[in-house]
Amino acid sequence: MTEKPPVVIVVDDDDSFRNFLSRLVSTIGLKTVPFASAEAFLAAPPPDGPACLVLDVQMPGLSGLDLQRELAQTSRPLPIVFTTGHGDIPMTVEAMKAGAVGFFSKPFRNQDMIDAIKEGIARDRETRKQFEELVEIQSRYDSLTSREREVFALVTEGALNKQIAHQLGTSERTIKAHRAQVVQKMKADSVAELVRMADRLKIRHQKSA
Amino acid sequence: MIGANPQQSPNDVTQLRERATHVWSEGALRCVFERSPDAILLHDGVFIDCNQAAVDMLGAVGKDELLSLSPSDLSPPFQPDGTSSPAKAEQMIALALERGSHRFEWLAKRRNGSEFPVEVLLTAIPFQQRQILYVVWRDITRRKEAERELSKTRETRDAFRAGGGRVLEMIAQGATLSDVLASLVTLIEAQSEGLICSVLQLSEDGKYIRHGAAPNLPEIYIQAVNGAPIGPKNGSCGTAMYRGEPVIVTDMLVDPLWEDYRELAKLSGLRACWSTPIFTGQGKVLGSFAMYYREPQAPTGSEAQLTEVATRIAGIAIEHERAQNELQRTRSDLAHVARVTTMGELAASIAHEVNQPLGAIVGNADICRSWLQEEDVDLKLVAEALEDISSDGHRASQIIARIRSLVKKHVPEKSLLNVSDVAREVINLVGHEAQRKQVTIHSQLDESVPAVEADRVQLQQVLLNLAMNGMEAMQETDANQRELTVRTAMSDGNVLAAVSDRGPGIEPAKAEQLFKPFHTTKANGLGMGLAISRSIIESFGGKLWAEPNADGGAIFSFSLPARTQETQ
Repeated sequence: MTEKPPVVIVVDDDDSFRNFLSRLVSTIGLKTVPFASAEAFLAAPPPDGPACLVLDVQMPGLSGLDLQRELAQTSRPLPIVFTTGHGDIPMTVEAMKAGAVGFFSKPFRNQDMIDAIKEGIARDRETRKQFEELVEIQSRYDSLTSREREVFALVTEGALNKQIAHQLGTSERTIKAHRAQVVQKMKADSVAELVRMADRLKIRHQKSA
Repeated sequence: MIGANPQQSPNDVTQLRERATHVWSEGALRCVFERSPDAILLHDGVFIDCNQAAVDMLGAVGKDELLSLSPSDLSPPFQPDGTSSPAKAEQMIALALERGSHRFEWLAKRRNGSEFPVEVLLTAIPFQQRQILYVVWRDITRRKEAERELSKTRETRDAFRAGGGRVLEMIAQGATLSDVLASLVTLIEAQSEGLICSVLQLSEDGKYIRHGAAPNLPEIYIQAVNGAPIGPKNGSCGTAMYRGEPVIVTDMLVDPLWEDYRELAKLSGLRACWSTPIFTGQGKVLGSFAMYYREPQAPTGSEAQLTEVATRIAGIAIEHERAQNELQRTRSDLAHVARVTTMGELAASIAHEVNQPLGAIVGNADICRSWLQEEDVDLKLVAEALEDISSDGHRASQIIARIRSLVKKHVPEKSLLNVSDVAREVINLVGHEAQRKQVTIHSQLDESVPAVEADRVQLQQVLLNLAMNGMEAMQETDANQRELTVRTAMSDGNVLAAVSDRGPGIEPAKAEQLFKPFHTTKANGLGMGLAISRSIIESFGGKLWAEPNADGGAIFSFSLPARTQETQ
């Protein structure tokens, strides 16, 4: 699966500052998607590649911090680099606590901004990868039969075939066959990998032992 | 002379009466008649007798001539009230017969035709069943003249007093000092023939003469005196101000005080100059009042009163002007302090507004530098970035200029302004502050409002103060209801500006309290904002008031008189 090119989303009400950020971002070979307000950004479709949001704190209407809170409610929050004309400490603390990548008072050093944008994109690429993996594992899990899911849960809890057979009231040989099916369908190389997948899927055996 | 001889005590009344009857019958009455200094005539249809005084008064040749005349020969055809003399005479006689006697004024005519006023007393004397008239004429020419003189003096004095009153009124109504002094000089000059007056001011450092008013002195003379130093030998005025006492120069061409100014006096055609210093209530010299004549002349004494009135009124006018100037300076200093305080409250927003372009400038400059270090530079891109740097630089400098104009000290200067323009400037200025405080500003500006006469910076200050107060009042209001409306409109010949907020509002009973100095509801306010705003608006002839907002909150409004095009 090939990755879509990363973009930098700039939300700032100041035309000249948006122009400058686009220019800066272009020097590291990235594309910018500019918005003049938080509302305009929310109305646009989400990016389909890795992205980083460069956000002005003070804007008419929805402020940068408001937008950060709103994005935190969605399934895939974007990494945010904040800029401000005049920041104060409480504002910075609030933004960083909520997971901002950086917080810059204008004027700032271009290199610092570039570093923050790169880190943001790297973070988003990672988030994105993990999200895609999870989607993949979920779809494999969805292909298991209900008996196979029971076996999957018990195997990942560390039960032996004999114990599983006893618990499910069947023969050890039948369990072996199910177990082979699970490993094949989940495309796992080892039991250890199955355990990791179960963790990601937050699967626990539902019936008590 | 009867009572003049002291004799035995008059205890027997009957005796006395008898003696009196005897005296009268002996022709004493005749003697009174003949010797009276008043003209006396007896009239019984025609004149039947007269005394010598009557002959003299009427300029007749002798008694016989006078007795041959009829009463109409002794009067002009008409009396001063317009009635004909014979008709009036008949009325007067009728009154005398009816009442026994009658006294009245009459215009008489001498034999040579000249007229003169007399007081006439007619007494009816019963004689053989008839009434004879006993006529006494008293010449009242001198009394009439004195009366006329008195009333003329009174009129002049009243006119002078009224003139002085008018000058004082001008001071009270805020006329300019030069207008006041010119009116004063004109008033004094009108009191004496050939008199030319001037009022000079002493500079506040007490060293130099400053022109005050001299509507009838030659321009060359005024120019020469204006700015000249005072001193012990500096003409009449310069010396009077220096000594602090009147200096009387009866001939400028010989007096040593005028040695240095002799040519000027000759050129200006002036010969006499009497100057009196003008003092403050505390005895400090403010200037001088001078009287000039074109001929050598010494005071006669009648000028003293004029000089006193002139120096007193001029003193009031100059002191009033200086107090006004001082008040104006204090007011503008206070307004300046308030502006700086407000700008301090706006500091965060100002920093934001300036850093916005600065951020772009620094960033773009950095990009240019790294581009220029590359081997194959795209100069078109560099040029674009430089273009942006330049326009952001201008933007930053405009922001600073705008702030500087509000912070720097300045002398208030009235000019014709459009209130909507000023309101727009203020809305721009507080735009970021509004964002910071999450306030939405609605502007409802009527672009067609007529001009008002005010100082731009001070008017900005008032609107800025009202806008800042309005935003601050909404701190506890729900963020989505923080609305500040700035409205301008025309109303009854005035231009109205109103700033409404949606804060907690004001109790109508306490609205006036808000305008008291040091009244504050803020943790770090001076409490002077509204008091100063009101005094600013009032200094432009307007009003500033507060009222509750029907939608909740408060409305602060001011109105200023509209200036039409003609008054430009």
